[in-house]
Amino acid sequence: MNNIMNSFTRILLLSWLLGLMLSCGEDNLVEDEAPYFGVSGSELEQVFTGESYALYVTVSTNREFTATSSAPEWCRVEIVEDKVDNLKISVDDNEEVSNRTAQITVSSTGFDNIVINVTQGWVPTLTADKPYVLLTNDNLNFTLKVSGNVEYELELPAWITQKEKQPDGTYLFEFLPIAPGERLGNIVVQSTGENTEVKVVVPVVQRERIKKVASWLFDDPTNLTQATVGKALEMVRNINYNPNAQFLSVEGPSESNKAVRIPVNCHFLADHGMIPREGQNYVAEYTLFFEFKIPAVGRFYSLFQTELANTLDAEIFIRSAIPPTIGVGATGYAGGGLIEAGKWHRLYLSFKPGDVKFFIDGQLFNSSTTSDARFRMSTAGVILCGGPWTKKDDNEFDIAEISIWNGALTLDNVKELEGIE
Amino acid sequence: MRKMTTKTNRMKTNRIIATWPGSLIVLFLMGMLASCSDEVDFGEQYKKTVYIVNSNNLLHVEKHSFETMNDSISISVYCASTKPITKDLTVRLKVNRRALDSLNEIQTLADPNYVKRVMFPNTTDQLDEELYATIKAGEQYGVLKIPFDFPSSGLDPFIPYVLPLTLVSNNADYDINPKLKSIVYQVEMVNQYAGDYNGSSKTSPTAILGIQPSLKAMSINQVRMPIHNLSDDISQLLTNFMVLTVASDNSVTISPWGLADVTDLGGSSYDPVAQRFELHYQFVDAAANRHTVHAIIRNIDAPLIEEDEM
Repeated sequence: MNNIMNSFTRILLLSWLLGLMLSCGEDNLVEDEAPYFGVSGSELEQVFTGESYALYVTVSTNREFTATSSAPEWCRVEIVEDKVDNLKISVDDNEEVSNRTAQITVSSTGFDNIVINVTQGWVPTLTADKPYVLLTNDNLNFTLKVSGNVEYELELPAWITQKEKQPDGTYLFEFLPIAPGERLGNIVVQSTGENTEVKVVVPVVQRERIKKVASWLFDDPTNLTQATVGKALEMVRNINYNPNAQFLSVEGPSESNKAVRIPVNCHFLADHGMIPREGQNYVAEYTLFFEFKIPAVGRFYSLFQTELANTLDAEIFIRSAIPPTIGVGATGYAGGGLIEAGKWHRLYLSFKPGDVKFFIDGQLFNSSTTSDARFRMSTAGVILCGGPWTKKDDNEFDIAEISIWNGALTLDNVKELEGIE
Repeated sequence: MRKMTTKTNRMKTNRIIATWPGSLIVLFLMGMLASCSDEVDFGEQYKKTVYIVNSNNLLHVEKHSFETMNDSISISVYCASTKPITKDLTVRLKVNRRALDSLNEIQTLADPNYVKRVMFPNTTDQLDEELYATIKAGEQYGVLKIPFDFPSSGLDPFIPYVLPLTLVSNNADYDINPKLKSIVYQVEMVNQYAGDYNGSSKTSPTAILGIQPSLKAMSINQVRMPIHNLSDDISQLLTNFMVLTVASDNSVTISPWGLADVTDLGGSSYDPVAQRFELHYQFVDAAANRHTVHAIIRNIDAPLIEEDEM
């Protein structure tokens, strides 16, 4: 009985020790050593864009393996120590204009080779030689050079017209001038081929600022119509009234600054060169400047006339009141006490519908909210220092300077021009 | 005596013989139970998982300052567990353009005004190498640092550059959280002057406008802001913005951005304590009208100063 019990005890002790030994072992000791080697079917085709990049493929294996590329000059392969994403395929930029392919061969002893097909696309490119274009009325043409490796078409703003195209992709465009202000648009260069969506947008800004567009100083006695800015004036005489009337060069505000004396019932005709705002056929925003001297008070003097036939009333007068005032019915007359006979005055007449302002010798003396159509200038020109034929209230006076701005100047503008703080 | 002893011993032996098998079985079962686990401590309640911090929205925007020297993109990886790891955990990541493509496609569908994020140019060789982050034993976070030098890179600070990264594996074969394994890390460059401001912009004693400009960093001492009350829409970028450059003496110069028609009138300044700009400039609007502007703007996040309390 004791022997039986001893044997039983030994068996139990042995079993216990065996159990301990087995249970203390790590699970991975019981590893399936059967060799395997493979790549998922979905990873056998690798597609890259045209840019340099790296993709990873998982080679499932418990064996050593190697990998080679058929085009190592642009498609490289390397093995990464890991269980997943352990094959790194990297490509360079494709500067060709077509897809290119390579094969990655993955090998392990005792297994068939695995071939991974690599396809790399190309980069469709379109570029313009300017990131944006600023246009002004001073030059109504501009160029844009387009380069690229795809077919393309241009989309232009309605106000830009293509004039010609050079073989090297340089385009010549033209456009029309604008009134002060700006307009914006985009030149869109868009690829036309399938699967090559590439686009370049070149913003275009046409900008015109308020500036002096015409000026006459009358300093040359031999050429009293000469312009320092803009076009020359035209002298207009009413020979029916006085066939001998002459525009005379006279002393101006200083020895070097001469002037012209405008005979009665005569005037200058000016091509102001201003551009109407979009949708308008007249110019409603401008500033006229006169440096003038009247010989006497108590008479009318016409400063300008927008009606070129010169049959209607002129626009702005120095009135016959004593003391003289400046204006017309639509603006009201003002400036009494500011105008003296025999003295040079600097007068700015600033017109903007609803906001008309007159300045003399650097100070504002009349503001009006008139939008009267009489102040609209024709694009054909304006009569200066005279009008109309019939009323003959444009008495003789002296002018040292006439200038025109293509916008309504403000008090600050005038102060700046007159050098007033 | 001897007999007695023998008898007594036999009785003991019989009792021992009777309890031996039971005791051995109990010992055997205890040994089996104890030896079936590497850890007898049952502290770990869940399996360990690894994920990228801040990846719950895929896109993560991080501010980087132009003032920072030796800047880097830092990606934090986290090992979620109820007990810290006992060995260093090495986590592998990879640059993953597909994550970026996916983000751009989804966001474009959801928002027609979405600005597509752009892959960060490969400005460091580190991105060509395999990327690893290590979570030290006893810790739960590890950080992958990718150095980058934005100021010297020549990159446009207004392009939304991103680095898309995805977790690949880890050396302990812990699970990777499938919803938190990718991040698209966007770099937003800032400086001490950038931010949202409010204040007033005056073109005449009676024409005073309230403005809320957003100032965007361009370099260590430059910000871009919209002119006066002109639209800050990106489509007007070429004409409606100006650049403020802050000198070391806190004087400010103003210059146009793109084709904006802006003239610096001088005398502009920045107050670093109040975080306030005082600006003097002229601009010409789209109708060709010139305006003289005096603007005072202050960072909305500026701390209170004495004059605020007065």
